[in-house]
Amino acid sequence: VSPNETGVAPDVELYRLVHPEYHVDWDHDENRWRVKSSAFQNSTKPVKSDRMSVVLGDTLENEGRSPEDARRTKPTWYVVSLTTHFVTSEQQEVERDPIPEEPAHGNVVGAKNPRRRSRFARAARWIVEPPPRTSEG
Amino acid sequence: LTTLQKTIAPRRFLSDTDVTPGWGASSGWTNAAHVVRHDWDDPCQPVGVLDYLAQYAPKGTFWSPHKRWMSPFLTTNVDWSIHRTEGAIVVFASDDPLNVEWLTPTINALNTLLAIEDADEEALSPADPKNVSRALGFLSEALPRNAAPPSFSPLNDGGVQAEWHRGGLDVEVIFSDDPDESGIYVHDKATGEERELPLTRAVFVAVVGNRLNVAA
Repeated sequence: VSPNETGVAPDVELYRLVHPEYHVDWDHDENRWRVKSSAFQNSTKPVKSDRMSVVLGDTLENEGRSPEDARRTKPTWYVVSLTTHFVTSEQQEVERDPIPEEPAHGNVVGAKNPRRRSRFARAARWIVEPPPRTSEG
Repeated sequence: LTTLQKTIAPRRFLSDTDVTPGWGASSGWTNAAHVVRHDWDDPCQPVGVLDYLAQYAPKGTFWSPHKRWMSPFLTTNVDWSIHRTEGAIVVFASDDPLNVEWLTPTINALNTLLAIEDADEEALSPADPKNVSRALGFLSEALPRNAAPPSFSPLNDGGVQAEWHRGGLDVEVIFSDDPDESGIYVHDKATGEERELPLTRAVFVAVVGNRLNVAA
């Protein structure tokens, strides 16, 4: 497995934090939680950018941390994962961007229009998901 | 009716003395209370108020209290009007909101999006009232009475995303100032087909129909 230009191998998992109130929805057909496509927007703070924050799985592993620990900086948020291979197939690049509070921080770089965000959402896999729903609403 | 006012529209309603001084017929502006008084003889009743903070209104936007449109809701014969006032969006309906499955949850959810504090969550931005107004207007025209309420999320450009995952469809509707964002996005779960469609009532009704309805 060869790394991409920024040194992230295609099989590396990329963990994305998911807001517990706004970025999850219930699928009434499949009776399961879905992550919304709006969870995969590029950051606009402090300025509009073409970058979406992720936590890099290989760095987590090297530090002996579990994938669930990707939400260390936001412990109430949920976590989904995408592979580097998938995001690069969507014309994105992955870069390492360690920050003091998260050494495994990175960015998925590239334009993310609504259709692409929807594909991200469908490809995402739950790592830490909302608790089971007791009744259908 | 009194209960309705207290539970859904708790502020500044039906008070002759509560019209903001200086805002009146001469300026063409008024506040929510005045709008309600103005419409009180109409068959429509106030069913909800969406508050927003004035500083979130886009610069250069003129918020007219008389910007009103009636949306004949063909499938239910419910008349709607949505008023944008200074600091609030007032929703009126000629029917009990409890008879419209999606309305009250939608108003509550949109209020939540308007109340997001810009500096509070690093990843979230409050919804632009203009897009909230667009969303309400669109849904009041396009959704049947017994449609399930959509789930909403804020977009980083001040836009609003409404979505459903039911009826064999993933449906997303985006209200945004950005024409490249606004639209109807439908994924058919059975066929895998993705469709990006213009944001019109006719398109929504043709593509989605009654598939978002709550089961009887």
